[in-house]
Amino acid sequence: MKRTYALWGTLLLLSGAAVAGSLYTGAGDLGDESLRATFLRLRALRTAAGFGAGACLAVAGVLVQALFRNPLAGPSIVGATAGATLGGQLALLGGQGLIAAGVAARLAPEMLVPIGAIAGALFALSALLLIVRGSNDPTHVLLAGFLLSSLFLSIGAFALSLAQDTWELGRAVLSFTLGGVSGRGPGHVAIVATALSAGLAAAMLWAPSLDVLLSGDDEASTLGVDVATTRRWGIVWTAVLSGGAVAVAGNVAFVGLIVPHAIRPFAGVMHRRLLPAVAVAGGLFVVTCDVATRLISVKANMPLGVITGLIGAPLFLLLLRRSQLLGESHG
Amino acid sequence: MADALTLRNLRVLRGSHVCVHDVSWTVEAGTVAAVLGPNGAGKSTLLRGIVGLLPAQGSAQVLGRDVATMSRRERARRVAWLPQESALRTAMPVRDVVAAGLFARRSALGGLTENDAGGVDEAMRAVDVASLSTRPFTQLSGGERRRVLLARALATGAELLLLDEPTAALDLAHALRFFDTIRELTRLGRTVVCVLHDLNDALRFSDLAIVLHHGRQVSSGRTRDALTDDVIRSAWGVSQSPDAAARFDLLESAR
Repeated sequence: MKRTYALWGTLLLLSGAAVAGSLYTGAGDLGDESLRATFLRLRALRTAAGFGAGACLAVAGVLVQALFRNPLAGPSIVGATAGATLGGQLALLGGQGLIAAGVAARLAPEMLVPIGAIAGALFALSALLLIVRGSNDPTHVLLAGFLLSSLFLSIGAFALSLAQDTWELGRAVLSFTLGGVSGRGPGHVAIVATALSAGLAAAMLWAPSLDVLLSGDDEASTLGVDVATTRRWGIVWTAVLSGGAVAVAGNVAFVGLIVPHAIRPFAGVMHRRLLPAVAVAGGLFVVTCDVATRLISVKANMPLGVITGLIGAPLFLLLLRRSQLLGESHG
Repeated sequence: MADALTLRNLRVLRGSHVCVHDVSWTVEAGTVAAVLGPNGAGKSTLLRGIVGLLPAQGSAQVLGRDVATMSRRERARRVAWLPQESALRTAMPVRDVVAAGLFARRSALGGLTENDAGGVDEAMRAVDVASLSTRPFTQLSGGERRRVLLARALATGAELLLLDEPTAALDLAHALRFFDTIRELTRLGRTVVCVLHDLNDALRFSDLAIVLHHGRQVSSGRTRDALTDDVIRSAWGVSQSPDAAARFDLLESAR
């Protein structure tokens, strides 16, 4: 219990510091009274979008690791974020045409990218599940995820080249592809908040099944878990969380892999204790990385994914090494 | 006495291949029954077929109810299965592992009730893992893990326990204690069906036995009747030694 209090105390303290840092860091001068409120509002929206995206990715990471019983899985490792990015790119490319043709008349234009991103993540996870069906080999999952990510990135690059014919569309697709939370508005915050609250609530509801699923499909099934349904809904909610995060922040790598590993030693492996802590830690991590992008480069926006990638890649290698040494899963 | 398990012409399949052929066997409630046979005889496959992990034809009834007609949760409340080797590779605290046995009895939102917690404690005490309560599962020895999983099976409260080589990783004292525990369970009305390799253990601790060879039922009945010289010779290709096997008993102080 002491450990739980210490964890939550630390998380809330650090989150408060990161939010304050995010509000007071940037190119705009808060000393100018006429612009102060505007700057703070823009930075608050940016902070909320970043926090929500990080929380979504971290919760999605816990879900993916439980569903594949693989400690090295994460939304970016299994191709979900690449699939979501491709979905968002295709939505940008084809969406305007659909609206112009009246096919998507009932759809608000700003909903096209989130829907595309969620559909892309759902497609990627379903394809992965199909490829690795029946295999418990972590290497198999990693290789299949790598293959799918590469495929989606290649198609995405093609989509990007197609978009260059129109300057505005080209800029929009490029900006979405590079990712980041700069200039995010209330609509983005609403999207990521919806994805997070729905995904986290669903994950908490399924948590007892996910706990038992850590014993493998056969044992879970004989203990009463509906393995197929748990996995199917887990995939759907992972897609909602990954798609929501990518729609707002773009392809932010490694958050879903690193954050659950960092939190498990303190929160334990039981999902109802782990998930809320991981959500806060994911938000904290992304907001901190976003502040770093502003500190490192003030004139040009450094993509958020670059910072998370620079931190995440070496940590991923460490985890891979540790996992090979211990032969364990889920820390 | 009522029948806890009734198999009628049960065939267990892996894909289109029939691995266990037409087994018919009845296990009375409150008994210990052994599933015996050489390696590859189909012992574990038979248990997997009964518990619904492999497709099966024919019928398997638990206390008069066909397993195939039970919902997943009902089956989990009536039949517990201990696998030969668990797939759990997580640093989950022992108490949480054992509490997973209650999954089918809990609502989706509910935590452990006082009654549930008592059941978990009792199951842990029964197999001597109460002192390991907060230890991560991954830090336990093979024998300790086995006992924790056995506690999980006990915590389910199921009337029928299907145990696949339950004593395989246990030291002598814990193996004897295990047999004491299952004997006690049968006195309380539960029925235990376990795959055993040691025929001496089967003769000493089980009431009933079935012998399988190449997926076919060679004999069944009271253990001493099922394990005749002819059966042992034909199934295992060995003969009984005229020397009595070494016999060990648990000290009173260790019970």
